[in-house]
Amino acid sequence: MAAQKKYTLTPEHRAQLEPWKNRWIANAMATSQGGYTDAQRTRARAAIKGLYRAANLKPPPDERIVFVPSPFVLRFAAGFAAAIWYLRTTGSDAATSAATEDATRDATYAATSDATSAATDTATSANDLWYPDLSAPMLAAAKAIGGDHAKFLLACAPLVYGRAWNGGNQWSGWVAFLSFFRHVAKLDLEYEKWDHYETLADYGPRVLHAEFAMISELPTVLTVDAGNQPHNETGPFCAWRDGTALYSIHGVRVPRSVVEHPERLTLARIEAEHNAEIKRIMIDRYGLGRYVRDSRFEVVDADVDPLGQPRRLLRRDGLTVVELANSTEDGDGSRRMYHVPVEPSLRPMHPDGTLGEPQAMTALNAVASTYGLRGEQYALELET
Amino acid sequence: MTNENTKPGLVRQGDVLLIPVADVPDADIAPAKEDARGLVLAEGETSGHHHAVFGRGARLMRFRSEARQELVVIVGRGGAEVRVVGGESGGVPRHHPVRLGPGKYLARVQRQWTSADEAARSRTVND
Repeated sequence: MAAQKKYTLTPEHRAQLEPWKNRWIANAMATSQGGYTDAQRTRARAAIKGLYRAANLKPPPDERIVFVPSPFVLRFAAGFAAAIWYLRTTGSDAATSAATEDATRDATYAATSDATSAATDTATSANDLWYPDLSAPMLAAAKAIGGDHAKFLLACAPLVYGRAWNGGNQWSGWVAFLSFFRHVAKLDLEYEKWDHYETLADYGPRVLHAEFAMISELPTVLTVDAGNQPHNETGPFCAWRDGTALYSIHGVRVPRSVVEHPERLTLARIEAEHNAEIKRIMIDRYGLGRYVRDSRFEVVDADVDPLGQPRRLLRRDGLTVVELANSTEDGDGSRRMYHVPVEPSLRPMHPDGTLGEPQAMTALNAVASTYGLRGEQYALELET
Repeated sequence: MTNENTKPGLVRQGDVLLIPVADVPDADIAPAKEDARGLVLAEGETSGHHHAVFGRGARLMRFRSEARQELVVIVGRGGAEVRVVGGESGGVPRHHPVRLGPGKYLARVQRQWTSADEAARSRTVND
């Protein structure tokens, strides 16, 4: 049977695409300083129960719809709780500390409480890790809750993430698409079940389990660059109330100290970094000019431009740099030196982001490439 | 990649290169976004300076294609001057002013390579 077309985008609806997009980007970027209010929690619990009912499942009671401070805690607490529920359901070893608790509710609560404490302790300690490394404190928490089953509890954390995780407001894109047809196009469809999902897009990530549900709070900080890439040059680009935080420079995740303590960077540490993107950022934070001075760059070519200024083409590992002197002297009579990374084969970097053809490795071609030109096009008449 | 015929005699002021062109098709350009500070060619992100055009009748245009990150300076018969505003060192401007004769110029900001992987990327220099 041929599909029946139910909708065609009208000019009026097309005009709503941009504001609709912006509304949902703002939703994805939402932050909150004080956590959810009682009213927000009540609304979320109702939506959670609605989702279970929509799937013909029995919803968990209110006390097993738990709000946690961050997605980090969500992942571990939900994993631990799921593991404990499994152990109990299958009649496995009940002699764990959590299992000796009275009510089943405590399995969820204990997992949440211990995971929260471990995450908070770790996040507020002076660690300098790629991301909040919760492995050690979470292992301790898993042992405290699960005893001999600690490893099983930990193994359930990634499983929960893969199978029971929903990104909430972090997955705004999908909700933006579907809700457009509900609220703008006003398609004649039944949205009663969908409404719960749409409501929960106002909240952080969640995990839904047969016996419990957990919802993360929104971050307190979330910053991006002009391209909406995670970015903050002075602190975490994303942080939660429990102290867990993530660091990023123009979309590249970096260790905390690279952002907060670039003065501690050393040549040895930069050299030890294997990830080219992170290494590039480390060099940038260290100072490219300083890096060129401190490390041994190969001088590929050197000349003097037609106006008398020296320039050099330098290379080391995967980094190719053109060194230029400022034509205008500073107030103290010195000249600033500039170091500009260039494409390794000196392909002109056009202003639309495309690249030209490779050029011979000369300082002239290098500086020309930074303006999207080839060396033969770079006929400088005046520079200041 | 440009459709314009460039002419010899490039003028460079710091990270801004002014490229004389014979013409730019009107259909390709539109007035640049208005800026209360005047005809601003480029911003210096680290020292708060900016490069701006001063001259009677001078106009600043952008390309309609948003991907193309350069501006067009149209200089009238009286000529124009490009100056660096702010960011002085010891009372001396970061770059001396440059004089432009009548005509059209592409104002292109220097780019730097930002990636060593296969996803080739470059961005404008932040001086």
